[in-house]
Amino acid sequence: MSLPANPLLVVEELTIEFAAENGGWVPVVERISFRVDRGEVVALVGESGSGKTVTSLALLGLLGARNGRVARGSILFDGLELVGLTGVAWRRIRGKRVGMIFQDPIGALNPAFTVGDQIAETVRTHTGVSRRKAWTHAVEMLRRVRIPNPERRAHDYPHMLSGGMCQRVMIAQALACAPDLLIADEPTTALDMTIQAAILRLVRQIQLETGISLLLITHDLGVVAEMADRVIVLYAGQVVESGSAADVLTRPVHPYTEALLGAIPKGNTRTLVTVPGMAPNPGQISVGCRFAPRCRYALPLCRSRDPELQALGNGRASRCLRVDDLYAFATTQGAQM
Amino acid sequence: MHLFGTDRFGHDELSQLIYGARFSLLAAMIGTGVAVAVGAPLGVLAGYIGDSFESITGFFNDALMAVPSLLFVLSTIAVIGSGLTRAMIVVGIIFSPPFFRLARSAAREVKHEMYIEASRSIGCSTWRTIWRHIVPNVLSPIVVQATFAAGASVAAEAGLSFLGLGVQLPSASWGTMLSTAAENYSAPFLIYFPGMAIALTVMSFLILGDWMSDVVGTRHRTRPS
Amino acid sequence: MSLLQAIDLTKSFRSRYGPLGLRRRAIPAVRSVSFTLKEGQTLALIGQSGSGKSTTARLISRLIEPDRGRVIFEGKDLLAMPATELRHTRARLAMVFQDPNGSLDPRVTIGDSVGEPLLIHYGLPRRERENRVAGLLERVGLSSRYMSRYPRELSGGQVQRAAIARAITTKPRLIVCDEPVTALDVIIRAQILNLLSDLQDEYGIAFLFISHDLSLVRAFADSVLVMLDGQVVDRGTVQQICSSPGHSHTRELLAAIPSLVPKALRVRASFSADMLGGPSPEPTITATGLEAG
Repeated sequence: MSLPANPLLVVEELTIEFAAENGGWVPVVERISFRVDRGEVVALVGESGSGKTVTSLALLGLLGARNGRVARGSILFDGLELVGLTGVAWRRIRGKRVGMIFQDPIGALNPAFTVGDQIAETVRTHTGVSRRKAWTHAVEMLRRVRIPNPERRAHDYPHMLSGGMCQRVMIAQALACAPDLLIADEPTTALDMTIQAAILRLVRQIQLETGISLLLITHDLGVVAEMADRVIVLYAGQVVESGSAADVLTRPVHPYTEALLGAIPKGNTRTLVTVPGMAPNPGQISVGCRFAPRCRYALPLCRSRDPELQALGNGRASRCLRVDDLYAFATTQGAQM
Repeated sequence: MHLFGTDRFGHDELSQLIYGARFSLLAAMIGTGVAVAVGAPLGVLAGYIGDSFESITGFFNDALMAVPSLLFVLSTIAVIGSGLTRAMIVVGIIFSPPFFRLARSAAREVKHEMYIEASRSIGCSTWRTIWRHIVPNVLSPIVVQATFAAGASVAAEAGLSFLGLGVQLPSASWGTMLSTAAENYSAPFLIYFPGMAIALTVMSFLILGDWMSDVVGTRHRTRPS
Repeated sequence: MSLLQAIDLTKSFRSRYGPLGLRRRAIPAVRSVSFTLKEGQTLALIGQSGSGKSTTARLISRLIEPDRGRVIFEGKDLLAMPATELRHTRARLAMVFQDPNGSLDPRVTIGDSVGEPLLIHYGLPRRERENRVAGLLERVGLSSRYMSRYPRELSGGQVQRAAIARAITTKPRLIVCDEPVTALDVIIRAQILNLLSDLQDEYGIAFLFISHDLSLVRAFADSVLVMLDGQVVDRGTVQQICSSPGHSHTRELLAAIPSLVPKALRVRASFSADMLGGPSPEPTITATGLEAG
């Protein structure tokens, strides 16, 4: 594996807090660090409550609307510090250098405007070209996301299109100004399975053609397998494992990742392997490993000491205190490569 | 010692003011009570059942709204006779359309919620579904509207009594006090007291209603994820 | 003698606006669907959105009236039953819905929601109901202290457990589950599916399981019906469907099940085809004239 040459996004020790009902601030994401290199596809994996969506909001400066704030840490985008950016500066980033697609395609589009208008609007806001040019570009973007008859489709309103079509429109809009980074928050969760496959294929194709970096936020490991180069696993607001997708999906080094993989139905086994309980709420974090209450390997040590994220060599990291005895293959083999 | 003076019959103004308040309260209760009792249940049924029942009741409701209210009240009272109770019942009927509409639209909205379908699936009868699951979700806007109707009822009573159609002399309600005072030009201050009493009472109901709509609006809201 | 038989179920919805504006159109939602389900078995209804699977589920439990067809439950025609008898039958035909946030009345406590069937069907007094509800909640993995809480205070998975508790209150013979785990996270999904399996093993409950995800039912169901545009296009045991699918749509659904093999480890050849910008499937035109994809 080559050394990372060109980091596009570097998140360092990011801590995000939300306003609590009684006036204080509750941390929802604590000291997470990760990077996305140019041309790379990185997946941020976690279930609801893991902090993954909140992280994506922070990357686009959208926390304020939800009573959240970045308490500590930095987000470097192509050398520019995003934490503390002013509203004017954000508008130059959003849409132009970082695009985002959301989970609910029909809901995320404005029902009062045609899809062509919405894309053209984005183009004109950031580049100031004429209406005609923006419209032509919008139609071209619709063509690139493989919408048939784009000239006619551009005049449609969102409610006339199916979920899959709307998602293509959203991708077209996000890519309209040729951003360097695309953030996709659960892009296929609301879609039918066959449409999911088609959308993922489309995104992968575009990613290969344009070399755009992709930050994929998802709980679906199938999506991760299909798309990601590297994986960051989040649990209760912390990074618990990271590494290449090939490694994490085939030889996980954290019990939570193991549990995620085990919970997916494979073949004909009737009972799924699973762990009990649920993730702790941000206000209810106790001492020790946050996964310990649900972990089958937990020892008394795990409940008394807060585990740190250990680098295991070769881009792999794990927050399990017992990583050396549970996952010996990873720590020895990985270091040899 | 007459703190607020006397009217032309020599009755103490202040004690009349205080005593007259009970008519205003009675008016508020009857007017609001009738309006809710006539409008809300029909509205809930119309919203939930729909079809021709809704069309028919809706039609009558719209017709009632279209009729000029003062004319309707005056002509009805001309037929059935005057008096506080009768007058306020008629006023209540006039005030019922907003309750019908609120109840109907709330019921229509709630009808499509999954938990209504779920309650049918466990064997709830139509009546039980309406009573236990639709009505509690329809109450909030009704309660808010009721406070506004109470304020309007107080004003209506004052107006009708002023015209001699509500409370009858020699009983003193704020409306009759106004009419007595209006005839007596030499002591204009006699108008201020009942006038202010009416204005303040109505305003209090409106403010109460406003506050209530904030309170019931924020309760039972789902948390953002 | 099967527990449930659906015969030629058909339902169309009237829409007021056709594609050109004001024409009335009948949208066929379910077309001539028939199947049988035996005691203690699980039948899965698989299809994408618009396939008619949810409508079929509601026709089975008679939450919607069909235009044509019959539903025989425990040997009796459900559609010919008078309202009172139908309500009593609902004690043995329960339903679990998709959206955990929507299926319990937000103004009613968990305890009261779960205990409502006991009140409706057995008229049990409050003390007795509370005891039973506590037991039911424990059985589905919820602490009985949640009895006095409201749905909004619980997580999606917990609410779904409460909904399942409500469904088993009156010891049903059949539970119709409409996408019960779709809105849940991966691990919670597995927990709930395991719970349903356990309940089936313990009480012999039959399940009609509606889902769009064939991978889920592969593990859980005995037989499968594949629906497309309101019709059943394929049927068989799970084994048959997966190893020798009888319809192209079934093949499509099987192909759409995501593989967990990371892309870097997949066969080199197919990876290069992608890089050369190989042909990607155009959106398909389905029978309803709408474009999918």
